[in-house]
Amino acid sequence: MSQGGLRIAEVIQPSTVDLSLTGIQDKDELIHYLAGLLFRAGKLRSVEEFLDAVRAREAMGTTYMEHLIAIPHGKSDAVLEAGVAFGRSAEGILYETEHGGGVAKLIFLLAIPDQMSPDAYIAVLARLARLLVHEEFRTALHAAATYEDVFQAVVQGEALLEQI
Amino acid sequence: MRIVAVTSCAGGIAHTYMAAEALQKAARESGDEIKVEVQGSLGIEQELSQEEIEAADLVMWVADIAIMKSERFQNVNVIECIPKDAIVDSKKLLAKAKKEAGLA
Repeated sequence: MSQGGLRIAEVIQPSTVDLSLTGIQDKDELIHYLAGLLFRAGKLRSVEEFLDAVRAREAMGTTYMEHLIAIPHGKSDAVLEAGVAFGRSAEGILYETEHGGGVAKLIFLLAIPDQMSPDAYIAVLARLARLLVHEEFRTALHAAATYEDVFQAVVQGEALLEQI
Repeated sequence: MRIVAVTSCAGGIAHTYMAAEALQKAARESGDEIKVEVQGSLGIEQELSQEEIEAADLVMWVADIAIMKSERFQNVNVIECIPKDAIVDSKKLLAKAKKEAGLA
C-alpha cells in the first residue's frame, strides 16, 4: 500500500537531527527550532513561509500520533528540497492542539516541496506513520546514541515495511 | 477469523495509515486474516468489495469522519471506533471489537 515516493532514509541527514532538545518550552518553539535546522541545511527558502503551511495543517487536525510522537508537516513552495528534521526530547514537550495532543519526545518535521505530486507526498507521510506503529522502531529511536543509530533504525524500519 | 476494516481520519493521512498498519499488526499477531481499506486524501485504497464485507466475521469502521460508500455495509453489523484507539493499543481494540461482535 502506497510504497511509492521517497524514503525517509533518503532525506534524513545529520545536520537536521537533534537527539537532545533542551530549553524548548512549547510546540511553537519546537516546530520553529526544527524548521531552523531544515533552513540551515538549505531545505527551505523561508522558515516563516514554511511554518505558515505547517500551521495550516495543524489547524486541520492534530499531528500528535500517541506513543510520545508528533509528526508536524507542511507542503509549501518555500521548501526547496524535501527534508525531514528529527528531534528528541528526554523530558518531553507538551504538544497540544485544539484537536487533542499530549507529551511528545520524538518529533519528526516533514518539509515537502509544492511541486511534489499529492501521491508522493502522501506516500512519504504514510510510510512514516506506518513505521511509527512498530515498537521496535520507536524503541530504537528512544535508545539512539548517535545519528548513525537513528539512520540505521530508519533504514531497517523501512526495509521491514517493504516486506510486509 | 476473517476481518475487514475501513480507516479514515480528519487530516486524511497520518492517522488513517497509522491505524491501518496497527490493525494489520494486531491481526497478524492474533492469527487473524485482515484486509484494511484506507480512505485518505487520495480517495479509497484497497477498496473492499461487497462480497468481502459480507464474508467477513468482523467488520470495523475505524474513523472520526464519515465513511465513503457506506451503502456497502448495509447488511452487516459494523463495530465502530476511532483511529486513536487503534493507534494507542490495536491489540486491545481488536479484542474489544471481537467481544462487541459476540465473537469472543
